[in-house]
Amino acid sequence: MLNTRQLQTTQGGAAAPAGQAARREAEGEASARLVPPVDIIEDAAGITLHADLPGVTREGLEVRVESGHLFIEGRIGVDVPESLKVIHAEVRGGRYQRSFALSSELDPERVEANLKDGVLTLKVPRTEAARPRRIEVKAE
Amino acid sequence: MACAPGGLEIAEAANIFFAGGHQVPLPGMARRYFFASTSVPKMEMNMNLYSTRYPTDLFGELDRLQQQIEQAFRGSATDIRATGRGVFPAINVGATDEGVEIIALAPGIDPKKIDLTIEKGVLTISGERAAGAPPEGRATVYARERFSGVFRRVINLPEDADPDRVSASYRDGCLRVSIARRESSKPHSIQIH
Repeated sequence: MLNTRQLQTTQGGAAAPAGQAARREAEGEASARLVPPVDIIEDAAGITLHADLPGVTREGLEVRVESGHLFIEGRIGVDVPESLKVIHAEVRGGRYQRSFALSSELDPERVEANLKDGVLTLKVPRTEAARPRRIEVKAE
Repeated sequence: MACAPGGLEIAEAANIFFAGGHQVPLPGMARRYFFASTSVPKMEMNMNLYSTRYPTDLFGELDRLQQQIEQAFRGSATDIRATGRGVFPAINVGATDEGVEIIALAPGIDPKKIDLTIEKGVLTISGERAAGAPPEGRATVYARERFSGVFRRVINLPEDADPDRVSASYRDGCLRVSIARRESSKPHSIQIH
């Protein structure tokens, strides 16, 4: 198992240099980006997106649409005690980030976002003009 | 087969990796070249060790890279119950002098349905995450990256973890389990009279 932080602290020897190395590594890791897994479904009304963002609170979440792109950014806000020494870390990183290109028939003005238990649900509807319509075929 | 310069036997030359018609020495073999070829003009020896066709020792680099990767994974002794990466839920384990903290990243689960047990120093987290409701009507699924189904993670706890003093909470999709260490096994300083 990848466990470099433990290797660093054991090789560091004395407590002081190991603490500094751990802090520097923590700062580096705090800005490391994680890619959240998503489920994307499209139906007649628009697109529904679910993203796994565990550890992100409403304050740490940012969803924005810019020039036809949808950006999802979330900061992990899990507080741990100061003296915590990491033994095993399968997730290393402080924030989630993912972006998607929105095609023109999706309406960015009417995006609905909902965050519950670390799952972000976005509903991006189609613009009125782009909704599928049935065309009546007149029999002659 | 081109004759290896520096007086190496043909049989030894067969051990040399051929790359695009040019001889690339394996890391272990490089020393042989050095010592065996005192009579060869320097230029020719340099051409073999530091080739002009491939500016770096390509296969030596690949070998070294492979060793580094194996080293990284072998680095610390892995638990017999440790799983590979990419398992749901991802788990981070930390320790303080007071106890052990386990954080499992499991969003979208009802905490009442998570099964958390400790038995003989082994913590088991299990449960199920339902897949999203199937879309009604005609719908296209573009991505299904999120995990759904039954999950089970098993973690070895250190020997001094006290199973009677466990607390767990679920917030924002993170399951936190804190297990205190036994009082008697905390570090005590001993007075010398």
